Amino acid sequence: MKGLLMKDFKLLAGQKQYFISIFLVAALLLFSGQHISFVLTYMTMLCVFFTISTVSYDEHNNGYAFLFTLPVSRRGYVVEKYLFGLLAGCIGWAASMCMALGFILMRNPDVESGEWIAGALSALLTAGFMLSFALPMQLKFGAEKSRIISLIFVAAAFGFFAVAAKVVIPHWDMQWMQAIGTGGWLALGSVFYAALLLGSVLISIRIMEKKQF
Amino acid sequence: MLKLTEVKKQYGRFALDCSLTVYPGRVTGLIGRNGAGKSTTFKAALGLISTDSGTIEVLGKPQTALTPQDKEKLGVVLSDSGFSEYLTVRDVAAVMRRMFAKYDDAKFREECRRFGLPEKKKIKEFSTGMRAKLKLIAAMSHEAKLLILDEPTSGLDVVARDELLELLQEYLAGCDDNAVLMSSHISGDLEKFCDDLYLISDGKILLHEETDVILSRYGLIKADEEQCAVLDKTYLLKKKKESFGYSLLTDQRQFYLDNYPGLAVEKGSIDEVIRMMTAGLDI
Repeated sequence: MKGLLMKDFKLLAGQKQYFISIFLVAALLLFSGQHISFVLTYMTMLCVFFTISTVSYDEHNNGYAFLFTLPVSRRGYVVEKYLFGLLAGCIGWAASMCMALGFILMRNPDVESGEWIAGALSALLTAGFMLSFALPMQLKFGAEKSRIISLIFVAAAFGFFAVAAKVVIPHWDMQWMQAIGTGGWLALGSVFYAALLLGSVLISIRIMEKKQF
Repeated sequence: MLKLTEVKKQYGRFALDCSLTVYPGRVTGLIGRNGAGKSTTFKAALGLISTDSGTIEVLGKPQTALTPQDKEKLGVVLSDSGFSEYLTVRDVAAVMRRMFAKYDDAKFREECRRFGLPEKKKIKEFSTGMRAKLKLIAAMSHEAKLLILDEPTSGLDVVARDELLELLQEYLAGCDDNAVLMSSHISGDLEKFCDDLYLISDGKILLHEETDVILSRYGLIKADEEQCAVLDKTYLLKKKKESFGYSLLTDQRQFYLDNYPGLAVEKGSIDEVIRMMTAGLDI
């Protein structure tokens, strides 16, 4: 696990220019009046996307074959990818938080603290959601196919929720939803989120265990 | 150290059906033409592909039960795969240090320097020879008990090949119980190193013999139709039609030298054995 993490961090270090450029673009967005939560989400997501791209690095030139002759199990490889994704997302998130705090201190813009803190948290949650969705896709279909399949999937999900919002939700009894309260929703959300991550990890392990090199 | 028993794998029209054993303290060679099944055998032994039937034991354990700790005792070179091209030698050292408890960083770096591998250059900028050297140096840097080397000298010029073989020889000289399974299509490499050889063709093991036996007892008889007709066929393995008559492979060269004076009997070579066993006809 430590060796794999080191490999991915070394690959990450080899992309210094990419990270400097996204940092500069984020700063530009922030100082040009873009919403703080957008910049936070942008930075965090790009760091998570890098994790997904490390799968392509591993696959390149039949690299998986050699990788799995090293003291690495397929299960361990998958767990490491999620761990690295969460670490990279947190690093991107922390860097953008620092940038946002610096911006707030320097410019003192008219932002409500509650609003941007909610934005910051949602950036982290979105990144985790993205990782849960994109990593199994990348492992199963590779870079090219997974992009197309992801687009189709996202379009289908949007369509489903749009129909649900118009047809189903207006007929729901909203009283029980209010009765659950904020704490209840947070707990439900956390359980759903944990289940999503765990489900994604298990699917990815199954994908990797079936692969032939 | 490594035991494959009736391992079968079907890939479209290609079928692997292989049994093979590598004993401690021995260097075993796997020879065969391109597409004969060498790499498939290696991949099966390393668990990189699933098999349809048969058993594979590595270091005394079923292959599927190997843990990452067990895999630390393996040193592997694959002909068509290696470390990510986007890493440098320094990065590889950092990764190896965290993967192998017995990794010897000083030795790895010293060998890299000795073979002119720059520490800060990305592997993608390396020549074929430099990549091959890095793979072998890495495989030998963590006190592996079993080296599995698939075409370690593939694509190298003579000088680079000799350098690599020298490196391997030094490694073998230092440890008596370690074992090596090595494939190559260059017979000279195998003649030099291997204690025994398996010949594979169309996924099947056609021959398993001690290297010394092949070199000392095997022979190639060149006979015309008349000579062929009166030859004792007991020790003949294969025949091949030639313009002058027949080439005949024997595993008892001395018998034909003693009993058929005047018959052209050449000393056996691994190349001839491969050629006759794969392209020759049954007697």
